[in-house]
Order: sequence, then C-alpha cells, then structure tokens
Amino acid sequence: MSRARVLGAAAALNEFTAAQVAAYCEDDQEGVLDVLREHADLFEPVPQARSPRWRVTDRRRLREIIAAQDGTRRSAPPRPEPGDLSPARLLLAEQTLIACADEPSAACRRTMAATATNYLRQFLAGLPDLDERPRWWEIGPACVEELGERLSAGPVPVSPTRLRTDFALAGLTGSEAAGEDVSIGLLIDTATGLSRLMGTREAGQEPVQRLSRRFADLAMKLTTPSADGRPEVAAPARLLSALAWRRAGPVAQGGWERAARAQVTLLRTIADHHPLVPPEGRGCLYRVLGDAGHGRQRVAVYRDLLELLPRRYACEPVEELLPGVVVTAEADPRAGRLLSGYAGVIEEDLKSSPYGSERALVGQLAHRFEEFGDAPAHGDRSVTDRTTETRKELLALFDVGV
Amino acid sequence: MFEMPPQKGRDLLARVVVFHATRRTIGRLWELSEQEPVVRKLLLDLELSAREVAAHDGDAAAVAARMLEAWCAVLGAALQSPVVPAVARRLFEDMLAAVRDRAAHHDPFTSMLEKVEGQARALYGDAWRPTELSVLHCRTHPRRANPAHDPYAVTATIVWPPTEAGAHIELHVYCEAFGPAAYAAVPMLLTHECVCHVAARQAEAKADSAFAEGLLDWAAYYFLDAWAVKLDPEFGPTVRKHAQQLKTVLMSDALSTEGLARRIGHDAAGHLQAWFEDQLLLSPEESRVRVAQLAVELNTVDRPLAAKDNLVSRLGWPLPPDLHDALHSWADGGMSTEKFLDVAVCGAP
Repeated sequence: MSRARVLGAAAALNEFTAAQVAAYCEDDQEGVLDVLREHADLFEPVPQARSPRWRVTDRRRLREIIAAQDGTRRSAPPRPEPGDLSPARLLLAEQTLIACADEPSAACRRTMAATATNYLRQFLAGLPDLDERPRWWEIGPACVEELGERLSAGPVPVSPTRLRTDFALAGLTGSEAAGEDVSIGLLIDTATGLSRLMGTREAGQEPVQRLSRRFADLAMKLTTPSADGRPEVAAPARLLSALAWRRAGPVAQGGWERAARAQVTLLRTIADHHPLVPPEGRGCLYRVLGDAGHGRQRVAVYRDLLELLPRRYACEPVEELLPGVVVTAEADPRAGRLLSGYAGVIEEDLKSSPYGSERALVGQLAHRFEEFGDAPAHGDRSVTDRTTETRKELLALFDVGV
Repeated sequence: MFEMPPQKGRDLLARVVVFHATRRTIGRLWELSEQEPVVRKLLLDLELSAREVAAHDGDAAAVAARMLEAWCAVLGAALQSPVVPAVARRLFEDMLAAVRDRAAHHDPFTSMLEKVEGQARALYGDAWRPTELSVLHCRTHPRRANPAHDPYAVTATIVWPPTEAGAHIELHVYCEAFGPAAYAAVPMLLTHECVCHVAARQAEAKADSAFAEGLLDWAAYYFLDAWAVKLDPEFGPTVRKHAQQLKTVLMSDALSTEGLARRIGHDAAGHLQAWFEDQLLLSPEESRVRVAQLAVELNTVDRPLAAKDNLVSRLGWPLPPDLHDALHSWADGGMSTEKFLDVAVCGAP
C-alpha cells in the first residue's frame, strides 16, 4: 500500500468516496479507509451524502504529510526535454488542417486552425537553428523567413515553402470559419506558394497533396458567392465555381504541379473578371456584353453550352473569363438565341433545385445536356455526339455514376 | 460473445482457458520461449491442442474442460523429455500444478472487463455507462505486423457512439497469432477503452485526437499500472509488463494518425506533470495523480473534441502564461474543469 498515493489522490479530489480514491491507487476501498482513519484529523464526512463521502479539512497539513511520506520527490524540478517530436508536431498540424474539410462546425474549424498553428509554432520552436529562443506561442510565419533554407538542411528537413503554406492555410481556415473576408490577393499568394511546393520533391508526400486539395476546397468556398447576397445567382455560380476548380484539379490537369499552376491562373482570372458575380439582372451562364460588329454580339457564356450549337451556327470563343468554364465569344443572332434559351432553362433548374450538393447540380445539368443534345430540331448529328462527351466528362469530374 | 465461426471461437477459447489458468506463469512462458526451443515447442503444442479440441462441437464449459485435460497431458509428456532444461522444467511443473488446481474458467475476457469496469466506474461515477463486450476475429494482425516482432495480435475498439444505455466494446483478435503476450495485453486494451471512450462526452470518434487517443491514453496507462495487481494479483505484474511493451510497439508507429496523436498526447501529459511538480511543488507521484484527474474530468466535460484537442496543443513546454493562471485556479479548486477548458482553449490563430 502506498499511503502517499492514497493521500495524494484524496488531496487531488478534495471531496471523494473511498471507491474514487481507490480508483487512483493500488489499494482497494478497505485499504483507503484504513488510511483515512489513520489520518482522521485531516478529513471529515460530508453530511447528507447519498453514499459515504469525505472531504479534506486541512490541505496544508495533508500536503506536509504527503511530502514527508512520498519518497519519490526530486531535489530539483524537472525540465522536459524537447524530445524528437518535431516531425510529429508538423504532421499533426497538417492533419488537423486537412481534417477541417470534414468538420461541419465553423467554431470547431476555427479552433482546429488554432490547434494546427500551435503545433507549427512548437515545431519551429524545437529547431536548433533559431538565433534566439522565442517562446513557442510568440513564433509566427516570420520565423520561417528567418530560418529560410536552413530548414531544408535541418534535423527535420522541410522546405520554407511548405511551412509558409501551412501557416497560410491555418490562417485561411480560421478566417473562413470566422466568416471574415479574405482578400483574393492572399489566396493568389498562397496558391503561388503551393505551386512552387508542388514542383519540389515534397509534392510526392501524401500530406502535401492532401493540403493542396484542402486549399482548393477552401479557395473555392471563399471565392464562390453565397446565397445571402443574391440567391438567384447562388446555385449557378456554385456550379460554375465547382466546375472551374475541378477542371483545375490534379485529375483533369494530369498532375499536382500542373493543377497548382492552373489554380493560380484561376484565382487571377477571378480577381480580374469577377465572372461569378454578373451584373444585376444578368445571368451567370449566358449574358450579352455588347455589340461585336458584323451583326454579331459579344457574349459571356458557359463554355460547355457551345457544344449544343449546330456547326452551322457561328460562335467563336475569344477569351477565358473563368478558365475551362466561362468564355467570351462572338455569336451570330441564331447562336445567341439558342444559347440564351438553353442557359435560361438550366439556370431556372438550378435556382429551383431542392438539392444542395455540387454532384446533384451537375447531375441536373447532365440531364439537360442529354435532353438538348438528343433534340431533333437542331438537325446536326455532331451535337448529339459532342454533348454525350461533355456529359461523360462532367459526370466523371464529380464521380457521378452513369 | 465470440462473434466468429464456431470452430474458430472454440480454438480461441481453448487457448484463452489455458492462458487464464496459467496466468501466474505465462510471463515466464513468453520470456523463455525466446530462449528455449522446448518452450517454443510447448507453445506449438498448445496451438495444436487447441485446434484438436476445437474440431469437436461443444459448449464453452465443455471446451474449457477438454482443453485443460489435454493440456495436462501435453505438460505431462513434456516433463518426461530428458532434454528439458531445469528452468523450463520448473516452469512446466508450475503450469501443470496451476492447471490441475483450477476449475476451468470459460469466459476470461468478460471477467477481465468486469474487473476493469469496476475500477473505471468508480473513477467516472455518474458519468459512467454500462459496457458489453464482443470478441471478433480479424483476418490480419491489427498493425499488419509480423507476430514474431509484434506479438500483440489483438486490438480493441468501441462501437461509436456510446449511448446512455451503454457502450459496446469489441475485441478484435487475430486468432492465428493470439498467444500469451497478446492475452497479457488485453487488460490494457480494455482499460484504454474504459478510461478513454466509454464515458467520453464527444460527438464522434477521432483516431487523430491528441486528447482522446493521447492524453487520455496516458491516463489509461496510469490507471492500469495502479489497478493491475488489484484486478488480478497473480496476473498483475505480467499485465503491467506487457502493457508497457504494447505501448512501446504503439509509440514506434511514428507516422500513423493514431501514433502521432498518442505521442503528442503523452508528451503533453509529461509537460503537465512537470508543471505540477515545478509550480505546485508536488511530488512526481502526486503530479501524476493530478494529470490523470484532469484528463478524466475533461473527458466528461460537454464540449467539442476540437476544444480538448486544442488544449492539448497548448501544453507545449513551457506552458503559456494564461494556461499557468488557469491551471493554478483549477488546482486550487477555484475553477471548475469545465471553466478551465473554456478559459484555456484558444479559439483564434
């Protein structure tokens, strides 16, 4: 029996049953009661308790007895060694950021972002190359710049780019969760950093790839208009945004490095053209921008709609407003009327859709493409073939089963 | 309770019955098996005997009785061999005496859980939930390891979420490699589930939680160390030893989600212990009590797991000043554990 342990547990709990103290000790309840009786002057029964309980009456004296009896006291207080947990802290920081994707609670995501930042700070604080020894909670991204390339040659090799990206992602996660506005410039900077990272050997590591995917999800969320402002454009804008990010993803682009570069371009285009926020009263999938001369109009149009045009209709794409998804084009009147009609039907479908998920929206879109593509009125067999391919690509992009 | 094909269940039960009957000696059995061929042969004979007994139908009591009888014969035959070294001979004699003296216990796993649960229930009081146990067969080693290097061919999980009606613990046994070491690790696995998860107030199970799988895991090892001999005086020292060896195996898994959380959480417990020693001048033993107490109390606070994980992330050394103050208040009894968590969690990067 360890009297010190029994008394220590009693001191910790302050008010307790014998069974509770016994749960902290090697002793059974009888052994605990023996110790309590032996030191009866330090405890008193709790009146009117459901089952017998005691509480400490003289903490100071109890502590003196524990100190006298406990032979394990050290002469000097311990100082924990840093240990070799630096890699673990970095990986757990990144795993926490990745796990935010599956966390529905904004408050929890914000807390998780703070958790990840703590681990990143502790990772840096544990490195031997810091010129000063800051306390870990005072360390920020600036420390990454101070260490620079020494990080790559340190005991835990990691590129400054990766750490900058980790800190940036933690910041973005916290801002998104807090409902704060995030400047597109910050997103572009982070995407640019990721693009450099995906060109290094670290790009082959699974956590880095998952971080890249997480950034894409976050950036999409932060650049897609919410339903609060203009509910009539919310669903179409969400569809276009989802399409743009999927087409800029590693599967569509054929690799992580190419995807990272495509995402930088995507963000810059969003910053320049704001393609997901059409002027009031104008559609997302099709709108007239002006006169192109020679009887044609300059239009902004969801690119896949062009596959619905019979070849005899004239519509020439000019510029990408949203890479892979929205283009400006010069359309003849027949093409314009057809595109406008199709876009109007699809936008109405999306606005009134009871389904919230991107996969559901794409499913609805694919259904309309099948319907429009099979319509005999256009008299052009290639429309059917082209829209079939477009449908397959759309469904594959979003892993929707056919 | 054994949710597996009947013959496999009988095979497992047959081994477990022997391990239980000879539990005072299976620590020595395992150690000697690494040194003495005759002891390795004995373990192979155990495996064969279990298969032979399992080949015949019968209820648990019948299987247990047949296996102990078969095992007496095996030990008797082994003792007849002229090449058995003295140290192994003494072991075999002790095992034979243990087997002869005992009535067969045909449900050792449930008995283990009941004992662990008795202690954990006292720990958690009103927050405790009743438990039930299932034993399932898994087709591979839980860590896909070579049993020669990682003999702990068993793991435990809890069916999530536990409800107020109770918590369902599952033992997943890789029966083909379930030997004495694995049997000796079962109390630790059950203690982990009881201390870390049965009474937990959290919406989801998360393998990467530095609180649930880290700090609380540290507490589970603390409690198992305290309970081991109380739970079973004959088995306690062996259980303690294999709990530590299991910990070494699990901690060596440096890159898995669970491994990261475990290492970070244990490290945080160490920092907390150091703080109690340094700031409150508690002895190392008392400090461990306080860390275990805090972990258990936090487990029943109705807050998201993300908050508890954040607290663990702030337990880097040194502890930040605001955590100092909050810990002082908590330790003095001036702040509830719930309030401590609310104050200690940092919600903004």
